[in-house]
Amino acid sequence: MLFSILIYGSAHNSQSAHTAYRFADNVLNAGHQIHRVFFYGDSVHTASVLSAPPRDEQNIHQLWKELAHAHKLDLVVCIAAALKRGVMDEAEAKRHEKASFNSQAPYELSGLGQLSEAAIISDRLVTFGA
Amino acid sequence: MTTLHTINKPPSDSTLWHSCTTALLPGDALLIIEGGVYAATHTVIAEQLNNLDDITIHFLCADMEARGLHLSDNSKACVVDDQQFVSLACQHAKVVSWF
Amino acid sequence: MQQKKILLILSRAPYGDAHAKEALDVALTAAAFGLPVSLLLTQDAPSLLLSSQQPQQIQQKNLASICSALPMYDIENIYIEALAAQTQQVTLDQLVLPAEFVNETDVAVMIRNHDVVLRF
Repeated sequence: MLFSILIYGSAHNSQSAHTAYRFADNVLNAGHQIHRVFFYGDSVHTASVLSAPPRDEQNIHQLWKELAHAHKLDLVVCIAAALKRGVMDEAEAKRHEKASFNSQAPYELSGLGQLSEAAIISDRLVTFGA
Repeated sequence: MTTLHTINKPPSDSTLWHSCTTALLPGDALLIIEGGVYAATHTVIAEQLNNLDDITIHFLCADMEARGLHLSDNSKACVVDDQQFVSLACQHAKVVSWF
Repeated sequence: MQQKKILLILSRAPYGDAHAKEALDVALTAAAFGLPVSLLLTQDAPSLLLSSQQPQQIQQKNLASICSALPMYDIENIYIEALAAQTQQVTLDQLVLPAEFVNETDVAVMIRNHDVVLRF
């Protein structure tokens, strides 16, 4: 079965991104596929490479990054939600004349159309809310 | 075309719980996750959930354990793990999230 | 492949947080993708359609104006949960566009009859 996941809860002030992570891991372990993971709203902070939690605490940025590398996941971060919150990759930083950037592969900035496309393609679209 | 509903807020969010529970139809399943699992120890909601006909109620194990909660002896609900969450999502035609 | 019908359920009031605006953005994008989109306003969301909104002083976009453009995107199925509207004293003649009141049973049936349901 083909899944897509919409993460909408705050990256660091809700369980959303971590519950979604465990769900995704179990979807893959059960032999299903994941078409896309879409980060929207405050969940876009998951994509920031600058988040530096204490060593003995959950690192949600790293968890998703490793899962994405292991399974070639398509991690899409809503570009409008991200730019507004100061999450941007090198290309966007240049375009907006910012001195630095804080997002890179496997996180990819793209439009809301990627969510609509995921809704069309996938057998299940599961939201992990705020 | 049945639905798996998930809810992640405690029963103190009463409008959310009202909207969610009135949206359940026979054959649907409700999976209670994250802070929602306090429903297990909320006398009013726990009884309301017991009285739903033909709707299965599930609590996510990791969230129950994290908060030190257990189902009461008379609960008709069951505790499921993350794998069973995936199975429930497959068994129903769609997943609707209440948050 | 048969076209999927999308139901967007809005539950938050406008301006206090980004949920209503972000939900509208999803609605407009999905409609631009040619998906049939229905909108249902529940809980605190009915006030989103009030024509009296004037958010200039708080420097936010007028969400009522965005809502009034929904029919141009072929989003014409707009429903309001009647009890929620009643609680907030929102009546149909105060709204920027035509909408239909539905009760809780209707909501349950709407959820069942759509292929994808997103809540915000």
